[in-house]
Amino acid sequence: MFSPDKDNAKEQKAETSGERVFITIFTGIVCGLLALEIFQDVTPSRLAMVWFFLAYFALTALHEIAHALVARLVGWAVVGLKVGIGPIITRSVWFGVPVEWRLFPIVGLVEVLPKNLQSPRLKNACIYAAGPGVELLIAGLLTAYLGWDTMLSPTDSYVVAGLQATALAAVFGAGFNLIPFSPQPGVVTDGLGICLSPFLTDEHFKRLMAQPALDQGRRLLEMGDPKGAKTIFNDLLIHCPMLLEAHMGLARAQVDLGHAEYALMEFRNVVQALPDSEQERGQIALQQLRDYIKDKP
Amino acid sequence: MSYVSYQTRMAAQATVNERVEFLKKVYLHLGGAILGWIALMTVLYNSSFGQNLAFSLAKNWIVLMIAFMAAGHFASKWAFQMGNPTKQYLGLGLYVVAQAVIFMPLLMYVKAIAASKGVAVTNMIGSAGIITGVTFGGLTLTALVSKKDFSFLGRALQLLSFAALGMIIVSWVFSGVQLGDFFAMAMVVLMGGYVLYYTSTIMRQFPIGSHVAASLALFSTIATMFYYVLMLVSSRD
Repeated sequence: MFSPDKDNAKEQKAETSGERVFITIFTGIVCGLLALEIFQDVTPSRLAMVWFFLAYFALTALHEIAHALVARLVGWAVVGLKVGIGPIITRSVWFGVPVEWRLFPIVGLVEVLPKNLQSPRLKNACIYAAGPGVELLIAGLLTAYLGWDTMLSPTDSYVVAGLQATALAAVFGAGFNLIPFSPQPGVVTDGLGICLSPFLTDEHFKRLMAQPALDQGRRLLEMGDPKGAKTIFNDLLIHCPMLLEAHMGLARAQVDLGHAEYALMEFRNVVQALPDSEQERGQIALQQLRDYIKDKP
Repeated sequence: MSYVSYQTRMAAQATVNERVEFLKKVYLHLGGAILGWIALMTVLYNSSFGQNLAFSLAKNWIVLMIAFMAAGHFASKWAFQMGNPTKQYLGLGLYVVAQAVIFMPLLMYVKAIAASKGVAVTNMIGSAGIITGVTFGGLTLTALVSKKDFSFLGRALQLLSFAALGMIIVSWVFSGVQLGDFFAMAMVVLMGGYVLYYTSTIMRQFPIGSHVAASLALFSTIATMFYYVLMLVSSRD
């Protein structure tokens, strides 16, 4: 279903007490009706719906952990792991990775960064495949345990129905994630990530590798340390001379140090030297730099 | 102001006249889509091709749903291609056809129920249509007149839709489970929430010029609401 452009969308949160009451009543009515549907006649098959959701929540966490584990195994850095949407339940650090758990664990996100350019496309594809892979593995193990016939047959056993529902949740989660599409701009499913991996350029991975340094430089700029930021962006440009974001950071540092005209001239030269495919991005960045200079007191 | 920035301006940032014009186009397109959908369903319902289609679809329900979801995904993607009216209308048209096709098994089921109860099938469909129309109209008026921003419902709608989808999937696979009246009622209430959500987001966050995409969003909600209202009406004694 269509979603409006997220950049223009208001943060979807109930802000006033009236909105909170409305949302509580609305959610209560729908959940109440769904619960009545499930529990009107308690049978193993009906309770399988409850099992399905519980299993899906656990599998979502397992899916994300599998992405992170494989990223670590292939030598990439795991920057963060988030499971769920809605209010944050708890934050913790696992093996040096910040982990965030939210109330509704129906989706998740793992942020990974390459550390070098050794087979980055293959490693990227493996990391994407790990999430649905572990779900398919669980479905396969459950099928092997129950047997194909039992897995597909109606049952009077609550345990068997629970295992069937778990396998179904695993297949559904893996199947949905393997469909190659982009649910919203900038987000791809694991399936599309795997398909796109062979076509990613070295520049893409270099940009990812530069991300921590870019973030650090930007933080220093925000903290009012343009000299420190300039050193970081200069170092970065030695390794990635064509990285537009690093040039932009350097130009901002120069502006903050009082060399606005020089920064603008240098940055214009950088944009002119960009390939045609990058020109539009470069022009937008150039305009942002002009605005940045204009807004400076 | 450049042409591009004018085209991507949100409805909330437009002048009153522009917004009124935009809303008129949204509801005209919505009306057109509904008329097209009714016409297509009538043709299919009265043809032997439509009846054969309904029976074969009823046997391959999962394939039908996957095809329907794929059609919905591409339709909404195309309908929001600003600057490409052909693709926008193609998206809306594709979705109207998909909705007409997915309704065929239900219409045949309702026909059989009506025959067993000795009621005219048109009465059942008409009642469901009136209930859906009145509900949609009332909720739309509420959103338009109150000018309340219902975008805060987005997260709840997303979660509740996930719950409903999970139940549909389990009921397909576990053949002993038939989703009944309580589920249909939940879906009608859920679609009511979508009507409020879409109407208020169309007035605020949809770009001027995206009337085809906006009408598709509302049409998908009305069609789903009608589906479950018809199920409820047909299950009454």
